[in-house]
Amino acid sequence: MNTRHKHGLVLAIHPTSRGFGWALFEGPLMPVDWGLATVKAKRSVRSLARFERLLNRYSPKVVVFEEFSEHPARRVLRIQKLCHRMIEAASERGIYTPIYSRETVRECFEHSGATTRHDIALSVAEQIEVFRHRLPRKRGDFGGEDVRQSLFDAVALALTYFALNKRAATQSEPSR
Amino acid sequence: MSPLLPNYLRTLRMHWGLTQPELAALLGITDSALSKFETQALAPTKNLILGVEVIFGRDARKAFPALYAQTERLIMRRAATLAARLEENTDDVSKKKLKLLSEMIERSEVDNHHL
Repeated sequence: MNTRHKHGLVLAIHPTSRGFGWALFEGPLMPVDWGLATVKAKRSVRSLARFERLLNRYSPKVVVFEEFSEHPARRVLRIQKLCHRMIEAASERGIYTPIYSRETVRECFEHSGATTRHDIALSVAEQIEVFRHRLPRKRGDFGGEDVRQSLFDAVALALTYFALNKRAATQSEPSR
Repeated sequence: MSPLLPNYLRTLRMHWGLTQPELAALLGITDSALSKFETQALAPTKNLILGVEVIFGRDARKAFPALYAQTERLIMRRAATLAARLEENTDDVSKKKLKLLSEMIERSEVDNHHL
């Protein structure tokens, strides 16, 4: 069995104040769909509806989230509630929902020397050519965050999932 | 690519950074029709399948795996019926036809094993 069939479709979600970035993979370095869900009013309700539409369309086996309730990556209450509802919706469908801290994501990109989220985005763009033209601009001292950053955060989460699973599989292999 | 999705139309478009209007214009269809093809609200037409092969160089097996698998299943079933009928004959043409059918089945098994 090859890697892509072993995992099924893996969806990674990164909520923002204006919706969420998402990326769907069928194997490591094999993105099949991605995007930014932008909502203006009733943000949580509409974000959840968009998320459920993704679940219905793709039936992923895994949905990866970033840690949202623990220090130092605690998100605002609305995002925390939204994440809980998304996890609930996914769990009801029997989908596995791992949650990774920013530190775990960073560790997975350590080999490329990436320390900030923008560095990780650069590393993602280097590894996966299709994202290169969507690279977010670097955040300035006074500027807001580029909306595309959440897409790269989602991709980084998916890659972290594959990296950790590969590591776990290697460790569980019997030594010869 | 693997057949985890029923069709890879949207994936191919996104991989090349094409917008829906751009790809729709290339295929000679409306944006709305393309959107329906991408979300499987519409079944792919032969013009779409051939258009995708011309534009992206991807054949139906790779770009529309669900439709391909469905067609393949139906043809294999008919092939089994035809083979059963041909096995009663001993002439050269029947043997040639049986050879084609067995090669077809073998090719399908090999291709499906590699996916």
